[in-house]
Amino acid sequence: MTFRSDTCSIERIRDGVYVTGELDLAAAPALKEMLIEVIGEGHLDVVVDMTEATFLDSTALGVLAGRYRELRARGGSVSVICTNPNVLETLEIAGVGHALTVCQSREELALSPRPAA
Amino acid sequence: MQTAVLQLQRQNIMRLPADPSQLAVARQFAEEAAERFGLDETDSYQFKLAVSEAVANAIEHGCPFPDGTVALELIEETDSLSAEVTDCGVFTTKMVADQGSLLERGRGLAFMTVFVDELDILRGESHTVVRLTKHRPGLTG
Repeated sequence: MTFRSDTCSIERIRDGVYVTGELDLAAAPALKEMLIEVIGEGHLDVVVDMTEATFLDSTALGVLAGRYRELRARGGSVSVICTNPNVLETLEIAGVGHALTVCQSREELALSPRPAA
Repeated sequence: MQTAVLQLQRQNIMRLPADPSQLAVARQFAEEAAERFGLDETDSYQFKLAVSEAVANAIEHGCPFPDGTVALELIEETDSLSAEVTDCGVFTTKMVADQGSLLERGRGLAFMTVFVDELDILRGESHTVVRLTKHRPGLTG
């Protein structure tokens, strides 16, 4: 499954999704559906690669928080790869930084300890 | 005097179909106004995000005008830039969740509160106006 609109694309990667553009209310349902698909395949440590994402609203953030809650109960995690300072600020201010593993690259993610459940 | 006041203001208004696909249009409208007003990149993004949240709330929880739209007005004044988002719904506190919780929904209002200097919600009998204001950098209050 792939989602494409004028402002956002979401593609499947092996253990998660790769987002380009703006994640908002219009893209959030597809994001949720694709992450549920990833989890349904048995992945407990899910990656949302937002290296090329430029916007994150509260609805899309809620999708990430919801999947974290779901996976935490099973000992899993949600990791976000992000370098955009505005999106990083949003994650921090929303108070989900303790829950999600936020890294700037795949390499950093590989070295990152999991957050406490 | 009235003429002088009017000359200090620049107003822009748009009506958006009440559909999530229109949020990107609202954001571009807000960001262009913010840059024209002189906000830096971070403040422009924050203004754009707050406007996007307000329009999303109007689309999801409000009620459109009879023509199926919600209204977004940007008001540029000497010291501040405001956005007013109007729909025909009645605002309720059910839309509010605790900030920082891991609930899946309900952060929109918290985001608006954090990312602008002033947030006013004007509740009429048949409509709601959410007004978001950023002050010009360097000004307080």
